[in-house]
Amino acid sequence: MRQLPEKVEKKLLVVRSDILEKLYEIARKENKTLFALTNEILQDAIKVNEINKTIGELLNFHNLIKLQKDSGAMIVPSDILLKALKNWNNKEEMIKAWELAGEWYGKYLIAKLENPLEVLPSLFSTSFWHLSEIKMNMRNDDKVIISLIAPNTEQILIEITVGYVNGIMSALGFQNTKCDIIRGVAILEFSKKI
Amino acid sequence: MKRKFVAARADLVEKISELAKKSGRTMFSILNEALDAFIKAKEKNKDLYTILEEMSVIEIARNAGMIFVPEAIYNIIMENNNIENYWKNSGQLFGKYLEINGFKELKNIEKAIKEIVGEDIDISISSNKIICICPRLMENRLRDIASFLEGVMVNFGFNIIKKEISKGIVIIRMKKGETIAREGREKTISG
Repeated sequence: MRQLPEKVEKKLLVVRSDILEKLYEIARKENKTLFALTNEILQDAIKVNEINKTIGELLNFHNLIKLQKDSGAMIVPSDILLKALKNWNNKEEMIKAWELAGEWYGKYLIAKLENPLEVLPSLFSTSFWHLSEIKMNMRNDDKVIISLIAPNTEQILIEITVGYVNGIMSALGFQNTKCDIIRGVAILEFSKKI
Repeated sequence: MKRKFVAARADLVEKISELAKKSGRTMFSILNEALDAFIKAKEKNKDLYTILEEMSVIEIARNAGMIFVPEAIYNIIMENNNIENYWKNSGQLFGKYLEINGFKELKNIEKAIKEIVGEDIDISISSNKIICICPRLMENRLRDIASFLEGVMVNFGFNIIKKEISKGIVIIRMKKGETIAREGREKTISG
C-alpha cells in the first residue's frame, strides 16, 4: 500500500506584498511552489546567521567584494606584497604609485556608484584586510576624518594605505589637511576642495 | 505598505522567531530582509547558497594572510621582483586553510581557487591535471597562478609531474600520493 507523505506542520508569516509578488514570480519561473521557495530562503537565512551575519549584510559584503574585484584588484598574499614593498628603492615613488592607484579607484567609484562617499566606510572595512579597524567621520559634508588602526601590521602597509586613501579622497573632491601617522595608527583629515 | 501572508514550515518559522528575539528585531523585518536579499541575488543570477560559499572562501583568504592589491601596483611589483616561489608557498598555506575549513573535493577546491585568482580565468581540476586558460593574462601573472595552483595541490597530497606554461595556457600534470623526484621535470614553454 502506498504510504502517504508525512504531514508538514505549517505556519503563516506576514510579509510585504510587493516582495511576495516578486517571490511568486520567481517560484513560477523555477517551477516551484511558493511554500518550497519560502522554506529554502528561510533555511539560507538560518545558515547565514550561523556565521553571525544577516542575509542583508552578506549580500552587501558580496557586492562590495565584487566591486573591488571588478576594478581589477587582485588578491595577493601579504608576504609577497611586503617583500616587494621592501625592495622598492624609492619610498616617495612607492607612496606616489599608491596614491595614483587610489585616485584611479576613486574615479572608478564615481563612475560606478551614485554616492561613493556614503559607501566608503563599508568599502574600506571590506577591502583593507590588513587593518583591524577603520573609522570614518563626516562633518558638515565638507570635512572628513578617517582613522586607520592596525597595531599588529607592518608600518609600511599603513603608509601605503594612507597614500591609497589620499588618492581616493582626492578623486572624490577632498584634499588632505592633516596626516598623523604613528606606529599602527593613522589619522587623516580631509576638507572639500574649493 | 501592504502586507500579505505566506506559509512556511513551522520549525523554520520558530528558528526565525528565535533569531528575531536574540537580535532584538521583528520577525517581519528579518523575513522581508531575507526575501528581498534573495530577490536581489536572483536578479544577478546568483543564489544565496553560492554567495555564502563565495564569501566563505574570501574569509579563508583573508585569514590566510591575503590582501587586495590594485592591478596597477601588482604590475609594478611583477616587473621588479621574482616572486614565483612565494606564490607556491602561499598556495600551500591557502590549501591548508581550505582543508581546515572542510574543502576536500576537487570541484570545491576548483571553485575556491577561481574565487581567488579571478572568475574570468578558466580553471579546471581533475585527478591528474589542472588546466588553466586565460589568453589575456601576461606570462608573469600566469606563472604566479601556476605556482599558486601547484602549492594548493601539493598541500592536498598531489605530486607535480610536469608544469607547462605557454601563451595564455597552463597545464599541470600531477599524481596523488606517490613520491616523484621532481627535479628537472618541470618544463616551461615560453609563448
